[in-house]
Amino acid sequence: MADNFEQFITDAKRVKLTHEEKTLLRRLLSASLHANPLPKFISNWHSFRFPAVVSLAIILFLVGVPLLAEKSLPGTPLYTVKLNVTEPIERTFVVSDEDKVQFDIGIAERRQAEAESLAAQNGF
Amino acid sequence: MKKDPSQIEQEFLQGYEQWSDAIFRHCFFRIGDRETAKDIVQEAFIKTWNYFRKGNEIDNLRAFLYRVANNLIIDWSRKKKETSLDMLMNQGFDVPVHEKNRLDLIIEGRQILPVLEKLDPKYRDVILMRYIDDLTPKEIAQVIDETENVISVRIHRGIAQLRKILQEKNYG
Repeated sequence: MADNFEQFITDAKRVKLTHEEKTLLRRLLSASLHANPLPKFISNWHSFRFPAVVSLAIILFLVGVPLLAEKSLPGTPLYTVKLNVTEPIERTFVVSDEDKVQFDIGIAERRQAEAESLAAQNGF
Repeated sequence: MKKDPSQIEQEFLQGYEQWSDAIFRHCFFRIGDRETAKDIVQEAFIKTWNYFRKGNEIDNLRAFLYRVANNLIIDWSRKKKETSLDMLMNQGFDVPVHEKNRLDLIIEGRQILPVLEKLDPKYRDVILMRYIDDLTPKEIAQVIDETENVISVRIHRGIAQLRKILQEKNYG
């Protein structure tokens, strides 16, 4: 009586597809696989999606913030970016001393223009 | 790392060779009808293939196949609630025992089904998966969305119930 259980399990494991059934199913499955193959590229999209989105966000940030900062006026957060990041970087691209002087004059004019814009905004 | 399509196809076909019999058993013991069980096996493999086609990855192909098959069985039983194993038996599904030898009956599952029919479905499923399909409790938990603990308890109680049924039926 004790080995009824083992006997039952052994018997149950004998239930399976016949050779013909298995072959037929395999054939149907192969046909279905060939009619609907795996896409070649879509599978790669998943592994690249996250890095792609992150890179895009970084690029937008690096390009967008300085562009917006160009028009900023004193007292706004972007003005700090303009003063401490954008302009010093622009200055490093100026090579000769003469051009550097010109650049600094440009900066001075800019400060003046900003002051005038602020004054105009505040109704002076 | 992503597998390339030919590798996935190869693993998938190997999966068919390795597990189609077990998945078939899994379906057959729940459905009681060979033809329907074969249809479900086929559909389970095709659905799994389509899952790959959408670019998804599968960690444990075997457990995944069982899961898909299980869901298809649930769908099937919802649609065909009236076709119980009882009815199959009553409608002449049985061939008189003396006409066939015991081994034939076993292979066709006719010896097994009446026992399984008596077993509480919630125990039947885990017992079949554990002892006949040789899935680990962890894999069974994945297939039917339960915790490993629940599975272990069900296996334990299921064995007790099954032993009792086998004894009553004087199985063997």
